[in-house]
Amino acid sequence: MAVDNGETPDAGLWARACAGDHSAFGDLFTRHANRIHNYCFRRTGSWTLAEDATSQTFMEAWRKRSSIAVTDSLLPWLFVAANNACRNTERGRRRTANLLAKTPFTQDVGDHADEVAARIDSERQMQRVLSALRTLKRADQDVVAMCDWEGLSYDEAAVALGVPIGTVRSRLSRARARLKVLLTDETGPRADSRVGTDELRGEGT
Amino acid sequence: MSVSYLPPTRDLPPERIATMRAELEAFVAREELAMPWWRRRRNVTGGLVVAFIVATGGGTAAAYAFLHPRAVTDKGSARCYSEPVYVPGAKFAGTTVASGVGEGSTGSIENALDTCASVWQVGGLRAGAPRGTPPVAGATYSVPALVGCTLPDGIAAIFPGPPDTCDQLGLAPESPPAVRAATTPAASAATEGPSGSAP
Repeated sequence: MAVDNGETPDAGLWARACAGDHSAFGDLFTRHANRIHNYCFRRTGSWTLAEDATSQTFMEAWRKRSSIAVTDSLLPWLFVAANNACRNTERGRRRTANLLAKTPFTQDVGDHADEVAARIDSERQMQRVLSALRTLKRADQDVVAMCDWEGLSYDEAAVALGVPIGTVRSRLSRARARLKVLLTDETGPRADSRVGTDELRGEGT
Repeated sequence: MSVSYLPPTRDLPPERIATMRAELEAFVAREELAMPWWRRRRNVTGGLVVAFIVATGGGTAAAYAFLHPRAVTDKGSARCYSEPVYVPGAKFAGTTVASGVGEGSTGSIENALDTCASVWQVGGLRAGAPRGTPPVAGATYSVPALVGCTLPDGIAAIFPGPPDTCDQLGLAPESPPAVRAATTPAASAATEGPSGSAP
């Protein structure tokens, strides 16, 4: 039985998973589930969709395992798989929403108020950011999410996205400038909600 | 990574992660079962290639974990395979031998290789024989070359085949090494006494 003691590198677990050790794949899931879950939330703006997309991400990684050569961390590959999973989940949500729009329904309200309120607040906040992000080109959205939001280096993002590092830099620069305008316009000139260049700059180097 | 315009992160409850993990592992098992055999082989090879790349590129523990012999940790049972085919989570050609309980039993299988060889010897496992063919009582059967591997869950798995069979199947060889040469009924009779005729 594989034991995830935090010391086995991703590459070792991935090699064992590809060789048929299901528990090694499970260990990888346990290790990265929360990171991917939060990433998917940032891409969808919904905690519920994020949970579905997290599972889809790992399923997709498994299906593509023969084409994924992990030499360090599996995370960059998971983010790429998550990009696709989130888009698919979003499409599914739109179809469901269209169906529900034609169907009378009553809205359920949870009675664990604080938890529900926190979820709704964070979803509203994220939806505002996403409405700005989605005005960018899809490729630019991915670079912002991976480099600025998740802290991938330019090198890691370039390898994961299959583009030159210079392309990552230029996309990120263009996207940051555009986002700064969009988010500043939306939040207005109030000092407590000002979105400056520093806030938009990630640590990707 | 903290960006001020993003809402705070939230962790999934541990029990939810455990449930999702179980569902994911079940999905992986189903995917493998649904996959044609030639693709399964390719994936085993793919795993070997990844392990090789990792081992040669960074010298990490991947190859060690994958190819290094592992001791059997669960001796409550052993799997005796009738063919060198391993598909995780799937039914297999062969039989599972469980340790006996009660007086005189150690409660564990200390030598899975010999245990499985005995099963072959009495005709409990027969390579190439149609399924369900009963052995002839009192007869001694050929025992192919056998090799012991350790499954990911620590159970011994004895396969017919050469010593590198475990590597071919993507499994860790048993530690200490468990390898047994093929024996014919005549050879068995010479060492173990008369025990009937070979079919």
